[in-house]
Amino acid sequence: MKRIVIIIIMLGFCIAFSAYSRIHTQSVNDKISASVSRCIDAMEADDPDALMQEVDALSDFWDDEEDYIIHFLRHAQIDDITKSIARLRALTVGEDYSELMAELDSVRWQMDHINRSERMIFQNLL
Amino acid sequence: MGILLIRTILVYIIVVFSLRIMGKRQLGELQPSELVVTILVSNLATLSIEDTNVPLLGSILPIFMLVICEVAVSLITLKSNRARKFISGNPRIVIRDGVIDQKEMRNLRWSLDDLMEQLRTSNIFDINEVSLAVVETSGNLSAYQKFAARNLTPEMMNLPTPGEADSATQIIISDGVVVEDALNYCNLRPEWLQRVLDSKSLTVKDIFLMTCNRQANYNIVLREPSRRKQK
Repeated sequence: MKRIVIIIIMLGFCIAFSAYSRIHTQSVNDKISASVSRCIDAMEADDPDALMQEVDALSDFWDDEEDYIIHFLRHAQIDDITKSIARLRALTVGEDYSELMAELDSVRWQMDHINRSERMIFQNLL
Repeated sequence: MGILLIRTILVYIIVVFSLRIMGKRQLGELQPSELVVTILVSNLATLSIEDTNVPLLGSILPIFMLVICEVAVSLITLKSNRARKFISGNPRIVIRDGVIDQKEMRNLRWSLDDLMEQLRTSNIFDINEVSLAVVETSGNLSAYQKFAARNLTPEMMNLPTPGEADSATQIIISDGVVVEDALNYCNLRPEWLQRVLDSKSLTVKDIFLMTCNRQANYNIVLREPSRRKQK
């Protein structure tokens, strides 16, 4: 009986953690996508202050989230996004907007790719 | 490197815990499903130790899931005969009255060398001595010898035998420490132990090993002199 109780607790932990990781990855993806969109909007509106504010907000958000998602995503995937985000501020200050656009796109694409690969769909199971 | 060491300790704890949950069967003779789980657990455990890129939970959660599957399967097989046969297979009779069932041997892909080797581990060197030999689901051979080939037992000779529980010895002092449970099992009291030690001018610390049974037959092995001084 004791063993069955432990197994049920373990099962509960596995399901809860899987659900949490799935929901959290989706949420991070949505927020990053929105943040990148706001950066692009500010860039297109030619508003350097708003752009700097959005880039800082994106960096801060990522710094906080990295501590959580590192527990359930491959560290190499996260490191790639961290490297891209680390370059954003320098590119904004240097007003290298074409490179900034490419880097923002890369951040969005990488996070989206992680999110898609974590989805509970048949293609991902195979 | 420090992270790697801590991860190794954590994975070690998780694997030991997992094997304890799966039960003692996992440590002895393995059924097919148990063998699969053991191999997978060992591989998953090394995954996060070898590659720090992999989150620790990426190893722990799959190990937990395997443990859950294994315990669930063992519960199902406990309740259902059909499930047990499907998962673990059936025991197969390979020798009847000294005659080898060659068809069964082919089905099992057992050679004569395999059969003889297994028989020799049961102290049987002649197939004619075997009344019945069964290949268990764990792959081990259980052999039942013909009456004429069996060892002589006190029962066959109608000799009086002491009760099994009374003759089983227990360790009552282990490396200078009294094992209270064993003393209770032997229905003996600490006062009896003290009397025995006093009669031999010994203390508990002087004794490396003391065994005893319910008939109060005891045996004492003294600690080596150098270790007695250290204590």
